[in-house]
Amino acid sequence: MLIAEAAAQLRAKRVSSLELTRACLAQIEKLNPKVNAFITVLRADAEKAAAERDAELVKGIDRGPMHGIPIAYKDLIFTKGVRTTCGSKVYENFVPDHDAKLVKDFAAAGAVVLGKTGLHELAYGITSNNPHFGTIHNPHDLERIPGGSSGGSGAAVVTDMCFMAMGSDTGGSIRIPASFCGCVGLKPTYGRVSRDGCFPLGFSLDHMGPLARSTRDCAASLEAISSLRNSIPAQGAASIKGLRIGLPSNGFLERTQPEVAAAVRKMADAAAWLGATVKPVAVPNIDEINAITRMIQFVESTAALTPFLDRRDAFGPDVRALLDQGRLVSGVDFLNAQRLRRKYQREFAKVWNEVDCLFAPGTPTTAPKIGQTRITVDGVEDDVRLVTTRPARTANLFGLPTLSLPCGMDPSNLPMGMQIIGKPWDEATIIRIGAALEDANIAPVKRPAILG
Amino acid sequence: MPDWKKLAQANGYDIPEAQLDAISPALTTLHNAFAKLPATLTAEDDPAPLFSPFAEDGR
Repeated sequence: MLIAEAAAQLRAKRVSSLELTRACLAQIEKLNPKVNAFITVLRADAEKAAAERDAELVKGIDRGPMHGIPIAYKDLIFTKGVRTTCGSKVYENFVPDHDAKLVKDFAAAGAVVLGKTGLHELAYGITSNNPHFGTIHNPHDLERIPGGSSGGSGAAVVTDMCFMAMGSDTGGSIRIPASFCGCVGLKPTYGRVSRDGCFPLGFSLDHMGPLARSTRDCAASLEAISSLRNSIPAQGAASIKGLRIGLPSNGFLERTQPEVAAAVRKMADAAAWLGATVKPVAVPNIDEINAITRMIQFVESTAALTPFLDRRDAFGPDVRALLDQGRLVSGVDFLNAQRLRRKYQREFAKVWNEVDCLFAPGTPTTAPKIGQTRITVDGVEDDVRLVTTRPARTANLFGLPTLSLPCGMDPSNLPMGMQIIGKPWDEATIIRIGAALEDANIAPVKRPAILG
Repeated sequence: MPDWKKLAQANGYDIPEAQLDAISPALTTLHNAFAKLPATLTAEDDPAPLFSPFAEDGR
């Protein structure tokens, strides 16, 4: 069930928020032992809140589309009085004394909080193979990773444990789990959603955003926590006629699993059939963009964790290695990376003179196996993390709003994902395109077999 | 090419040698990918130390 459907049924008194909440809690109880999507479940608090939302509706108090909808937060988002671990040893007993801004916004919008979802340690990685809180499993194949760092959020959404789970994205951490798990993820424009009360990984690269089962669900969630309004097209009425869609002629579609590249092109063909204009477009070198982004992230992430750097044993080996690399980047290289960022931003912005958005793979491959560190794509073997984040980092460096949308299943029956990358502050366009493609049902994603 | 071990030593970082050996190839690869790029900068290229695509959302 989608958020809009649940909202309609709530108002028609065909279901209560308490029933929706208990159904989600039942899914958590049933499947979390296998998937490990949640670190903390707030059963009593959720049931109490749901009953209060039901009582409000009886009194005629309606807080909007998220009223009574059960949701979850990635466990790096501050929740007053509720442990917020950041998936780490160093914060394992941290209990915030205040809520994040977005938590306050969702409370005002009437959402019901089920708990906190698991993540890659400190959000610094893409596997969600967490040494402190256990491995999170991909619901489509329990031997594969769900992606990360918001792996628990992606896994929870596709197993009906919640209607929406918030994630964060510094180098693809919303879009990668959305792609590997087969759900929708929306990374907004940098600054669209307040980062207040969210652990930083990369101060200038972090974005907070929703993962959900549809584009409209993501849009409704985003509207609840930002200034975005009227972005949700009516069902079946998302027109993309006249929009200019760019299919990158270099970079993004290279070094990609052939089935994924074909699926992205199929979605572009569908968009053309729906009335958009699709054209090839050259973009600045994304490998150079990635080198700049990684240089900045190394330093920002190590700086964010400075108080804990002498506690080497508190970190998992992969995170410790990344933090060490951040210490060894020179100040000159960091500042030059920030100069290059502005220069490349100007270059990249020229793309928007030609097209309204770009289509690209969400991830170059489908989900790798748990423990897999190397992967071969197009005959080239490379590190799984570098391959997976390759098409993602551009949107972080330039703060571009990006929708990660499922685009079918590969021959191994694993979900494939694509990105729709938009202009700064133009979430409405990418939401419109995502909704139109969903309405046309071009590339349905199967529900995980684990759901029965 | 920086000598990562000497760099760590000079900064007084307590990174064990085996772990330095493990991260050195990745650092070298990134350094090689990045090193040529600053040459394209001009004196007019200011840094973007705290980035905003336009203006921060007012909420």
